[in-house]
Amino acid sequence: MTPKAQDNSSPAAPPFVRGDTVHDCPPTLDDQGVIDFCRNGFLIFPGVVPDEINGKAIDHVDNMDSSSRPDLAHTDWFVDAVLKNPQAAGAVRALLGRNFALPVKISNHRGSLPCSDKGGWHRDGGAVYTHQLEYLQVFYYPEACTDDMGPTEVLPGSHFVRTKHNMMSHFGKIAGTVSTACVAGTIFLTAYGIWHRRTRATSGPTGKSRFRNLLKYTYWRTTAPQRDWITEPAFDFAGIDFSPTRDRALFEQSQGAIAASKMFAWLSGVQEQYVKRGGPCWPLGPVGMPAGLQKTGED
Amino acid sequence: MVEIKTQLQLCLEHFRAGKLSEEDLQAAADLVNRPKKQSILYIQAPTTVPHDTAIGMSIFEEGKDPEGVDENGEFLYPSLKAALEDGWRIVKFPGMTSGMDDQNSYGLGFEFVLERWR
Repeated sequence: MTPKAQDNSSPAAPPFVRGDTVHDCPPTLDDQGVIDFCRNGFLIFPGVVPDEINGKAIDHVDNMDSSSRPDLAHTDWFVDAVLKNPQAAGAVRALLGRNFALPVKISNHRGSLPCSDKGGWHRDGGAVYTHQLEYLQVFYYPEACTDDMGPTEVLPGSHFVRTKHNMMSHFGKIAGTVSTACVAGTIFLTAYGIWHRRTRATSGPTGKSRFRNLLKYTYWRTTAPQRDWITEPAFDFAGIDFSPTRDRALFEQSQGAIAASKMFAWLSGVQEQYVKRGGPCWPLGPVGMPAGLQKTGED
Repeated sequence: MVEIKTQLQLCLEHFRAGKLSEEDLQAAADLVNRPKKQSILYIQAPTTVPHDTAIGMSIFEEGKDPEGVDENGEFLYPSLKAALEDGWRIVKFPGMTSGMDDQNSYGLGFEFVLERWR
């Protein structure tokens, strides 16, 4: 049977609020930053959380009997320094718009060191295939996570590649993955459906915690998308390469770029102006580019 | 699991050293009689070409890291061609169903399933 792809998202993406707290702050991404997110499905912000907060976060998760769901979402110092971190939350603001909903649940993927088991490749449960970016899955490393501590790895562009969790169970090494090994205080943002896994930890217990701690939480959009991040009037979208870095391997010809440009047009609030007619029109050529993305003075 | 070839090589070495034992030969004989086991190798390629490069790999064989990598973290075989030349046999070619929808992308490239018996 021929598979029939469906866009399961809501057509109008009406504003809604989940949880009871929203936040606004200056956006920290420019057009290129947003495009990079659309292309690859993730952004990494190394060491943006201060060491003092990292230490408190480690103490917090180490002192819990079960750290699978630390109650940090309502802890002021954590909310202020991590969930509202100016650089990371500024990127969330750029991607999800004003007054985005703050996370209501914090999970900790706490891994023993060493750990021979790799987490299998997967997309997290509940992911929806769509170019409409309604929510972001965000991760925070309170301690440095070196390559031998089993950092999460992601597959760039895979947020546009359809599959099922259980159909990925036999996957092993994949070329072109990106490790999130990092310094303490690193936050990385992902499109929820991106393929990812924990890697093998070969180190013994290390660091203050003696475990690998990776906190995970989700932000939500509450407003309709518009291009209100850091913009440059002269930015030329006609010359942008929207192709994910794994375009040839993962996608039918140019479909990766088309998917990324569709997400970008939606985020820019000009989706209605973007009609993919086929052939070398935008983003593969200048014809058909949404008028809202054209440089000032252009037709 | 020791392979027959490995055990015979050991017998040969022991023979040359003048210490070949009945146990050595019995171990070889037992290996001949044991049921063979199927090993499975998955290789994902960017196209349907059965000699193409590997973009993904995993192996299910006793004693092997299922990750499909060598000690340097590189693919055990850089391509399908290299795996075939090492004795693997393709038992399943990539399914074409997902290709019927050319406006969306499905799965990890084109997946070949290979086997060998040991």
